[in-house]
Amino acid sequence: MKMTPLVILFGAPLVLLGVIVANLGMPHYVFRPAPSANAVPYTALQLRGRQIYVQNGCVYCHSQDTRPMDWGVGSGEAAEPGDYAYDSPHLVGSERNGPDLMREGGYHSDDWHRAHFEDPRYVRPQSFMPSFRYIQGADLTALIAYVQCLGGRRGQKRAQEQAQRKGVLIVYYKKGPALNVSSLNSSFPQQWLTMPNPVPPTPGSIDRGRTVYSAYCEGCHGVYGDGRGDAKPYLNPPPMDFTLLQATGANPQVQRPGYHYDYAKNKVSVLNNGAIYYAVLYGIPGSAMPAFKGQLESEKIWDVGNYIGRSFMGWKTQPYSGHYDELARSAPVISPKTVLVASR
Amino acid sequence: MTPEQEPPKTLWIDRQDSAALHGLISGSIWFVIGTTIGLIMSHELTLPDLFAGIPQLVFSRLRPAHVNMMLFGFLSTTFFGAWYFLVPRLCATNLRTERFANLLLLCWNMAVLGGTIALLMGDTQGKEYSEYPWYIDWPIEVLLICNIGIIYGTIARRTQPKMYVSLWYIGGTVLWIAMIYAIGNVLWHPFTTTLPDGQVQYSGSLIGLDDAMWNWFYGHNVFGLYITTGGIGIVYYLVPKMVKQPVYSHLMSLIGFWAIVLLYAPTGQHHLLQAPLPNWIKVYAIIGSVGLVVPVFSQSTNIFMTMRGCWGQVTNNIPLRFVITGAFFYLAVSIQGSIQSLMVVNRFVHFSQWTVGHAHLALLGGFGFISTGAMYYIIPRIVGRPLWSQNLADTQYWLMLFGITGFFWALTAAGLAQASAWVSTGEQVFRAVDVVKPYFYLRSWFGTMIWVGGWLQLYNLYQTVRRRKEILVIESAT
Repeated sequence: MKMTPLVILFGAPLVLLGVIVANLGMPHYVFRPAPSANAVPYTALQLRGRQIYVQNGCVYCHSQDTRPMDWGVGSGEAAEPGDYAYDSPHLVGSERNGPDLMREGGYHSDDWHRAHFEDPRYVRPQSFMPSFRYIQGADLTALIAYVQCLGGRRGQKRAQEQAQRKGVLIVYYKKGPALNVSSLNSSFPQQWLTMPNPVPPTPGSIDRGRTVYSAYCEGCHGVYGDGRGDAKPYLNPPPMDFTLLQATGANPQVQRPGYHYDYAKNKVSVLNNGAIYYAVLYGIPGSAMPAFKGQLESEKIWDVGNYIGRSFMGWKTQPYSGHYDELARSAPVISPKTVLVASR
Repeated sequence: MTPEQEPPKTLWIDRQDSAALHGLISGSIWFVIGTTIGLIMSHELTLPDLFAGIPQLVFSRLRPAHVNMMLFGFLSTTFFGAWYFLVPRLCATNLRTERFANLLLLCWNMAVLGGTIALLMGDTQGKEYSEYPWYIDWPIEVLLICNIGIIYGTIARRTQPKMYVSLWYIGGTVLWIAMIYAIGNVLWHPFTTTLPDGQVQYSGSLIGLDDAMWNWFYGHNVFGLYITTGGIGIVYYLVPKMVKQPVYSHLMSLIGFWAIVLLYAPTGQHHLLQAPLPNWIKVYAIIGSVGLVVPVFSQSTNIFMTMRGCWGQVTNNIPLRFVITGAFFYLAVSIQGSIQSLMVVNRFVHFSQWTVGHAHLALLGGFGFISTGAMYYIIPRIVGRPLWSQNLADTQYWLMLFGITGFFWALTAAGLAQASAWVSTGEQVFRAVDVVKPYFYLRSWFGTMIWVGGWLQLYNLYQTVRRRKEILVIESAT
């Protein structure tokens, strides 16, 4: 074949043009998915937030493409072609330095996002996401509105649920720790409150629990379990102060009274291990407490409960005597009903 | 061959080969700036609060600035410079015209600078590789079209009737990139508008998954039909010239040229194998990606067979060593690319740091090394003096070779660790965050070696161009 300038000038673009017709032109006209049942057009505020998301390059670390095999928020809700119907530009993404955000809406509260944008390590001590503290005011509101609308109708429903429950939680928080814990307990299914602890608070369990606590809990609940983590100023209701529960000697397993033990003044309903397990597993919607069910295995959740109980609420350690079945044998259940509540 | 004594009145932009020099020096400067940005980004992954609260230095704004600067700053200007040197020689005529080419490069550099500033200020189209906003895209498209004029204007006045392989590649590349750039940046839709049905269409974008498909068609072809073909054209010139042997096979050159445009062009959607696209589009992309072994192997075989009997020269010929190393990396990264486009591999490594390693192996390991080889071959010939220091270039070679190799393996290991966590053990992405941190430190250290290499290259070229006579030549220039 003799290569002349004309062969290249016309031949090379012609081959490319043929491929463009087959590779872009055909799908452009053939593949026109209708909006899926879950897809919702963006509101003006959400579009403004989306623009901030684009401007700050969030897409380089956060894909929006939930795959059938993914574990994470929205697992089981794999992306459908029609889910992208209102997206321009597309934000499918090519990399996951951070979680996929396609179904993120409603999995965290607005307050959590506020603290997280200020500095991700406030709520996620392990994170290496940059701080976006320069996004403030109306821009921040818009960005949070966009993040909360991800996940389409289902995501927005979750976000609404979070917003609705927030008011109730604040009311109970203001009534003091006793009523707060009691109302939380009453919102948990009964079987969790009477669930025997399958992982007794042995020294090993408490040690493991400390690792989990420092990686997942410390940002909000603080190193000392007093709810004064870095994120506290951004969260309403604020994170639970476990030491208040210690001060009242709320745990009947503890034979001796707590530091401020005074029945007349500080009667608090108990936060038992089953309740902690439930709260860690599913989160507390309306507060900044997210669900950790996809991130922590069962034993780790019991472990972190044991650590919180032992370190901040005065529970006793249960020595491990070396029996195989001891790990499966439960410690005595602490029933929330056994403790008087101030208001009753 | 070299312009010895120009008439003193000639403007610098009219001097012979001034455009080539301009392009190659611009490339080495962009490389230093681009690697500096890359180094900052790398440190931000290990020290996330390094520049906390400064919007222009946040990781996610630096990333498009880094990627686009390497693509349109470093590699583009180097290639333009090399083409402006090769094409007149292959056509046995002058560049048409030297002044036009210089002005084009000047405008091009301004566009890259302007685009970088726009991205750092948060003005972006938000799609990978087409981030530059429309007011940068349009000038770049105009410059790409002008570049066609320069290359074909020179070819039209050729006195050498035979079209050498390099000319096919360069002639094809300048046409392809002008077509692809317009498609990828949706140039006909510059402004963000609201359509009649209330749908908002963003600047430089289409809507829905269609936008993703067009984006990745461009996103992969900007490498496939611009950087790859442009770079291969340079390799086809430099290697036979340096080893003084003809190209091994004309037939293989032909196969490589026509197969690459036929098979590279449809590969873009292999970036979307995990997205809900129709399977026939994915299959088309995979066929193209695997079929790429045809042009890649024919090009590589052709180059390496040209080297037969001359392999010993890589020990003392620095530019040849850079080019051949680049050609090897190109072969390696192409094989890796074909393999990772297979569905079963892709579902494992997609979204992980593996991809980042792959991209760096292609652009830095492959065409970055070829660019350095081109600079070290061409610039001494333009200024008529040997390279200032062979030893410095040797140091740079080993620094960059260790740098890119370590960098690649650190990211590949990080990607495999992430992928095992996500896919094999079903961890959420956040659980794999701690897994990759050690590799990020490794990436910073190896990246520093590349960054130092970039400075050595710039200093070496600066001294070569500036020093007039009193240079001490230890080794003879090749």
